[in-house]
Amino acid sequence: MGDLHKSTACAGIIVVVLILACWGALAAEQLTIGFVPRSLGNPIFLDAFENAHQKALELGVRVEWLAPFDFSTEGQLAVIESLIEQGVDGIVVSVNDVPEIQAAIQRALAQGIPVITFDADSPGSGRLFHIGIDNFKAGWEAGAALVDIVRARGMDKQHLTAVIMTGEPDALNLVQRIDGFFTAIGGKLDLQVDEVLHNQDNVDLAIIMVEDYLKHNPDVDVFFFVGGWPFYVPSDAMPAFKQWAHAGGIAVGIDIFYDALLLLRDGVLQYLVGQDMASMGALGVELLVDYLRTGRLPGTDFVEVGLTYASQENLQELLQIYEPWLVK
Amino acid sequence: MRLTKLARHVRSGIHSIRTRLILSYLAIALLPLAILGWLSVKVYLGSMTERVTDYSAEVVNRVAQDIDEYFRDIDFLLTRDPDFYIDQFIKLVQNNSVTNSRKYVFRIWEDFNNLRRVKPGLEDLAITFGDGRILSSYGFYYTDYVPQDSELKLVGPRVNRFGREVVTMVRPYTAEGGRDVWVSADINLERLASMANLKASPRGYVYIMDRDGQIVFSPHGHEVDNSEKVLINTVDSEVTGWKIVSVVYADEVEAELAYLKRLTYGGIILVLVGVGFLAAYLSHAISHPIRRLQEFARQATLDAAAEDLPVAGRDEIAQLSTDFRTMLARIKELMSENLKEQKLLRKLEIESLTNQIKPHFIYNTLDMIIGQLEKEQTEEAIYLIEALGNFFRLSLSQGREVVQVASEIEHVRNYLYIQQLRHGQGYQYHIQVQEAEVLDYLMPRLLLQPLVENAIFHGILPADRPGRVEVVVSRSHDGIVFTVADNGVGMEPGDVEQLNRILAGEAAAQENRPCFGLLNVQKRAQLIFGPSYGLTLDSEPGQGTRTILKIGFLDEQLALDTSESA
Repeated sequence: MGDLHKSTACAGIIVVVLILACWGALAAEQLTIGFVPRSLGNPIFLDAFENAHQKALELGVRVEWLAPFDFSTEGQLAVIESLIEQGVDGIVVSVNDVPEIQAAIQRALAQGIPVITFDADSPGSGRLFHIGIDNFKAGWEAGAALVDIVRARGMDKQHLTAVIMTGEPDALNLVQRIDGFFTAIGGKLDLQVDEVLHNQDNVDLAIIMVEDYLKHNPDVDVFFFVGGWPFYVPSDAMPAFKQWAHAGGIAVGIDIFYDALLLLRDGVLQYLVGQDMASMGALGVELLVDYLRTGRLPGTDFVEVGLTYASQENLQELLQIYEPWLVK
Repeated sequence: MRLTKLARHVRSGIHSIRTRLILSYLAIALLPLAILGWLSVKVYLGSMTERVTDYSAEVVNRVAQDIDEYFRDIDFLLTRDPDFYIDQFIKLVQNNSVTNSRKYVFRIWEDFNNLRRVKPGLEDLAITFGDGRILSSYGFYYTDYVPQDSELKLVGPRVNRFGREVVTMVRPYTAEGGRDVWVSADINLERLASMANLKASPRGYVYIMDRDGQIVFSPHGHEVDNSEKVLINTVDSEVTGWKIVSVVYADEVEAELAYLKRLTYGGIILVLVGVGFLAAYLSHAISHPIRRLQEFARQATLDAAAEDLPVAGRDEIAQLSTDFRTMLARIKELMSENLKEQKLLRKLEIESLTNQIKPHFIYNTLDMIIGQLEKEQTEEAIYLIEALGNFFRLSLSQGREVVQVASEIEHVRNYLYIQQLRHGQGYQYHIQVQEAEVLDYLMPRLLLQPLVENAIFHGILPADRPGRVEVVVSRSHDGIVFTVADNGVGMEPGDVEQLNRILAGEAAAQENRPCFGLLNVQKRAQLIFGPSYGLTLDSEPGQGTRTILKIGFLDEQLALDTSESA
């Protein structure tokens, strides 16, 4: 009996020592993942922010969420350089596919810091892989929805004019969405693009540009929002947009969140295609930590997250799912 | 040799009136200028140092005021009323949950970035947690710097996460649940630099030092240039506790003086050049006539024409030149007169000598000697030969123009003896010297003999009766008086008067009444002794004639001069 007690006590001590040793090793190896959205000022990344941190807590790693408040390549470069300087263990970025960014990513890779992209890809940089939606498909779905709406209104034989709002011209994801959009309407609508508005990934600027354009061009037929920059305010905060839409203007776009659904409810927007930013945040941490800890890669350089769709048909259901952000 | 000549020339130049005048003028001009310039520099330096010090104090006060104002605003941002969004975010973080934090974190980012936009120099605002997490205007990340202070503190300068040099103002966040939470603001050094960009001089600068003496900001990095002498002015910032230091390089103050110095030196040089030219002109105006005068005097010594001296102006030098020219003209005139007189005197002497050595005088005397020898009157013949020899010896006087009175008396005595023998003892003669000392005096030779000859040939012999010639030598207060008197035929008063007028130069000698011998004596006596000396005649018909010759005293030098000039 005594021997049994002694053996049990020794085993308990060994287990405790092993647990402490593992805990110490784990603490010593706590990873830091740098997460670089396009900007802090674009609320669309807040889903990713929360979910990335939640996943980091689960995995016992640190997430550093850094970006310029307003998007700028220079600001992103400074942030990426600071992460390299800090010696983080990995970086997740949403960037423009431009040479400066490519070079910065290559510098990080050269220093042994793995880099993956989310939302907006930079395939020319040599990043390990990309997490995001199928942007072409998202654009295609928006285009197809537009065709259905136009046909439903009996306007498919008319010559239509359109305006496109996008963010940065060098953002690859936005370019792909526009390509998908025009592919979907190709041969089906007589759509002439009068203007392409670049809002520089700035939410406030996007709202101003929409209002300003429609005040001066109320006769435009279609508004295609490549992203949801101006969807964070109530419809009454955009009177020209609201008036234009109620007068028969058709607006479709990409990005679904609670405020955007309210615009859909108010009849200002007719159709939305959503991207799962929460999954992008969580997957970004999860897959990169997995790579850092095990060396495993996803097996593909494009990890796709799903699309969601919003129209009057599923609006009430979605309003129950999405929660208000109240950031604006 | 050339060097010696050059040195002599230089020495001569230095000691010339012109050089001394120029140097004097320059010294007179330079001394007050130098004193004035020195005083000006001293006074201006003091004034400028005071002005720079005052301005430097204004600079540091202004910088301190700006810094206080700026940091007071920043502190106001940090100590504002508890912010609902910050409070909620702090609670979430301290509960280790960021789920549903988006509403707060986004508002905080937006708020912080708006403050950054409206507050220049505000590099970042942040909330720092005790575990090193930090929510700033750049995101949500980790920091190695976790404040521990419970009061307001300024940290830095330090390099922030993004490589910017900043000073961090940090204080504890005081809201509920805000324990171990600090709120901070990073102010970039460019802002400090712009606030400290006032300077009291072109090279001067302002630097900022914290309470511990560490450099917070300096245009020279985090160091202070101590390599040069500087003027320092400091003031303390109330809010930050920093020391604001203004630095002005001392040589800058002095450099500003350089302009005044250049001005002074330029003025001195200009004045010196002007004075130099003026001095050269004035010295030329003064020395040139003197040099001309000197040159003229030198030429005058070489017997150059004195009339060629050009004299311009009315100053003393011109007057001196005029006087000098007059003097030279007078000297020349006197020399000319003297030359004429000497020529005349010589001529007169020659004539006098020639007159004495007349051939028939010699022949008759020789005949007399032959006759005496034939009559075997040997002793008389010897005596006559001896008298004749003495006569000629004394006549020639070994070429001397001046002889002793005794010698002249002896000469006359020989002459009277010979003439007495020639004319058969037809007259007597007597020579009387009233004062023996007179015999030692000097006199021109052959003055007395013509008078004795006249007495014999024009007084005694025409009377055709035994006569007597009396020679008296006496001394007066101003000369020697020779009186030759005869008791011959005498002259009419009119003739005497006419003769005296001729001798006085008041009348010309008549062709038919020659008086060559008397005029010869008269001219020679007056040439040597002056017009108050000479001959006077006194005569009565049938009673005889008395001729008085008065001469002056000849001293040795005058005698020598007379002899040499002759």
